[in-house]
Amino acid sequence: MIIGIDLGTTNSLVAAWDGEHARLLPNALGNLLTPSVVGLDDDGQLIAGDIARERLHTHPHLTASLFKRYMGSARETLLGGRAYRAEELSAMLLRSLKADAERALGVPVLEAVISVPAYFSDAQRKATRIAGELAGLKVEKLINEPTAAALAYGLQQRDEATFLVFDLGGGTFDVSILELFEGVMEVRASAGDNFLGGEDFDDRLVEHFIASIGAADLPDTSQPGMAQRLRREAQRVRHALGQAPVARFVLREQAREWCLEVTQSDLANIAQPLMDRLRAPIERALRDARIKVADLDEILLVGGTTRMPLVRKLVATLFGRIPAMQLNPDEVVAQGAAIQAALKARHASLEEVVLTDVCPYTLGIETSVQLGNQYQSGHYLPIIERNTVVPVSRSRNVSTLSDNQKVVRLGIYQGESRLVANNIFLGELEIPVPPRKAGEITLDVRFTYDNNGLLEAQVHLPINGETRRLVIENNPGVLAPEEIARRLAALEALKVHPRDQQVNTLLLARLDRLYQESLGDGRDHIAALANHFQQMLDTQDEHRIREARGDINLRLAHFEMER
Amino acid sequence: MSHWQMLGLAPDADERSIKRAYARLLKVHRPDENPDEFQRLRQAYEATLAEAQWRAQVDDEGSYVSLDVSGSTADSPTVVQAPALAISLDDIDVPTSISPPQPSLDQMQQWLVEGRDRQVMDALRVWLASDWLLPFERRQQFELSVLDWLESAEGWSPAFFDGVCKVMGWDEAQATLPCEYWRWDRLIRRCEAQAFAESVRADLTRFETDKVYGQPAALLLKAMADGDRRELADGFDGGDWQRFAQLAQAIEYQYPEVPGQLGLQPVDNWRDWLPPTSYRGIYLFLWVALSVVLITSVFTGLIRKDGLSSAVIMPVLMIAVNWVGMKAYGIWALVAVTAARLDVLLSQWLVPRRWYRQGAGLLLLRHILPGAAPAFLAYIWSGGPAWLRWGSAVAVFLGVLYFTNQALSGGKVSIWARAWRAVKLRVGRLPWHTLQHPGLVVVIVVLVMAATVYWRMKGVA
Repeated sequence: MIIGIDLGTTNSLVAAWDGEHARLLPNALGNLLTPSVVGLDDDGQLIAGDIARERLHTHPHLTASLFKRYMGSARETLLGGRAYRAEELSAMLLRSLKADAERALGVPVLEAVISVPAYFSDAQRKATRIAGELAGLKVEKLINEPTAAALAYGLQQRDEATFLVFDLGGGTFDVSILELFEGVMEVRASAGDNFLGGEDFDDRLVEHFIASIGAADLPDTSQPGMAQRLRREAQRVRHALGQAPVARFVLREQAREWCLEVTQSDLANIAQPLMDRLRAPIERALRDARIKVADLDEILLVGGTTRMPLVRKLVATLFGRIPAMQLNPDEVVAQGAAIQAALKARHASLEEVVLTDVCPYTLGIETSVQLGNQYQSGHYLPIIERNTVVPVSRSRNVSTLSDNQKVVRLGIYQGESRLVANNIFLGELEIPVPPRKAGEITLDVRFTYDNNGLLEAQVHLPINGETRRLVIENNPGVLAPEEIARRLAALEALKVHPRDQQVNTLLLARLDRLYQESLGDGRDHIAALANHFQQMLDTQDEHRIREARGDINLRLAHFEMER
Repeated sequence: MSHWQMLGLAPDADERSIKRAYARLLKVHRPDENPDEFQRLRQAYEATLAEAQWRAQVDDEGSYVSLDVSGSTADSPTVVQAPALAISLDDIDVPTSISPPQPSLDQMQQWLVEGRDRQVMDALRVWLASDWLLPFERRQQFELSVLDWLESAEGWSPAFFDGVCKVMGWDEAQATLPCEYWRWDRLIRRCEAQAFAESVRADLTRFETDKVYGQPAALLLKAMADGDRRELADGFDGGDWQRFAQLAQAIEYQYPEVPGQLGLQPVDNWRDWLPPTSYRGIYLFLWVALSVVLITSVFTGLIRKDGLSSAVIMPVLMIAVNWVGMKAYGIWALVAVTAARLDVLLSQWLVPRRWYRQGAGLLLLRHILPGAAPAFLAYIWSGGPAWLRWGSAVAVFLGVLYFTNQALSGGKVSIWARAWRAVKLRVGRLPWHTLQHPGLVVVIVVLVMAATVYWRMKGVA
């Protein structure tokens, strides 16, 4: 069984094809959305999802969130005194998702299709693949998130269509333009911004709150626990502003309370710089696909952040039409991944759809350009142009620059600028050449970009038939194989928090958080509830515990509403 | 197999049947299972589709032209027309009654032409901030018209263009360009040329004020008397020459239009002005010529000694003489440089134009007069009849002048030098690298030795 996983910045989902539909699989707590937060509990056992999220600000040093943003970089997060890379944190989450899927399906799950933002780079994709491996999953394919959404959408829609997927998630923004014809789903162009999403809106709101109240008056907001609280409150305010015209941004700390009223137009002003950044990728995708806005049959909104009325309104204005809203923006990517998984397994119940995707950025090498009788280095020679259909293999010929050159060093870059200094360095490849006059040695540089968005570079020397392949070594964002093995062993040694206790643990974590957040009477109330629940837990009577849980959950919901 | 054959189509198939054929074949050559086949299929698909689209466009244009002729329009509208929106925006509380912001587009274009950068930038900001431009279609048209203005207007500065790019969000590194790359590239080149012109102008103004900075630009571009130019060039150091050569090359290869724009005329023989790279020709000539003179005089019997040994010793001696002579010339050159103005004045009158080369070539005091020294040596060393003595002196003198001229002139390469370079290139292309194999070298050496021994023995036998 191959499952589809939407590994999001804020939330993750798992889905599987049940023969008729792509069905979303609930986690241990019965929820479809699992927050992308992992951590360690007080016994050093692994927790993921809602429980970890509740503990984010009560135990900031034992939990980690938003790690998708650091995929493909060497940045490490401290968790209980040990440093973890984003791959490992993702792997912890994937392990939990895998366990959930196994429980829901009743069969062991070993393979998965994982979705990634279309604009993810080579290093970020490799990191996602490694995360899958670390979680004990064979990653059958990495599917681009907008493409997955389009697949889920296109399956309902049989006839020909050209549509644009606007995918604004928790941390990334992607635009893809797709064309559906004769059972072919063709991505025409993709563009995006890897650092633009709902979390940025929250950050802005927090900044606004701090600026309005005055940083001097507030407790230290850079402290991890406090930062997490503000962030969570900002998210609540942002969601509340989706319905209500005004929401209150509240922070309580040690018998003090700070409060700020935020209106919808405030939010619009705060978010304006972010909204402006949405335009350029769309324009680029339209231009690259050579499609006029009027030729688009549909605009699909994908990603939780597109629930914001502000974003919907902007999209409607940009395109001069109302976007499609019949899809659940949170779930459609996971469903698409599951459909891709079923297609991969050649599921009989699925009508054959062939999907072609593109490489979203230009890939090339550094060269020198002759100006007069001197050479200027640092110029970019594109080999695979952006929005070329993949898999693709392209080659260009280059030659040596100086007499008796002994070695040719090829810098491999990703980006659109004509100078490599402005592009992203991916790695380099060295090949020794026989000494000859300048320009007499020709090298055949071949880039192969496969279906999963992974790049292989190869240099061939026709003069002696030698060939070199690139293993991108100088890239700090990619782990070496032996390092992966070591980290895999370390991760496997980590015990997972027992699944049957998760509901109770979640409630305890929630009580803990609310106790810290509230003041005075509220605090006493929470303390009483927590004590009561602990007593019930100590009785070990399953029936009484369940009853108490239901009761307390109801009270807490009421309590949070009233605040 | 042609692209059409690969798709199993006739070359006049339309877009629709191409897509259908592609879709059918795609299910056979799936991208994830058979990447190589898929790539071939994809190439065929793209090529045929492009051809079909091009054909359809040509047909379209044909009908369009005929239509246009029948219903001639009065004047082309310059104002951006609001395209019809697919759905009325009333449904989503956005006011549709918004009108284009002020100032008008015509006004902005007018300002751009007049070079009122400040106003244009402010107006652009107003426009871009307005809700009017939110829909993509309007915005794209607006960007294209701004681009048109930039292309047609003269005289805006690179800084202004940079500002416009920032405001409009055009960024090459992000690949957010408003148009095709070649159009963009043309604008960038224009900016680069202007920046270059600006730096040249700045150099020249600085030279005007203090005569110290900007000397390379002045030497290349300023109109001045030959004497002044020679004096300026004599004061140059390596850095100055490097800058001079860079400037000259940039003008020659990249920005040939820039001097014209600035109303300047670069010196047409800038390569002649560059200091000589090597005096090897003169050294070699003097050594050979004087050695020949001496050796012939030995054999013609002026100096009675053992002829053979002097034939060996004389050339060695000549190296020392040469060295001393060149040192002496160095001292003379110092003196001659101080009298550069006088030198140029005299040379202008007395030296043929093709040697003089506006002061960059042979000068009377600096180059021609010292040439008399070796000629004198040749005269006293050569034996035999008077015509031979005079002949050798004149030959040495002319030879020195010829090779000095060669060394001084840059750029125009003589036919001999070209021939020599060609020979060198051919020889260089021979498989010399095989000699790096020690085994091969040993084999060749052994073969040669065997051959030598064989012929020697043959002779003896």
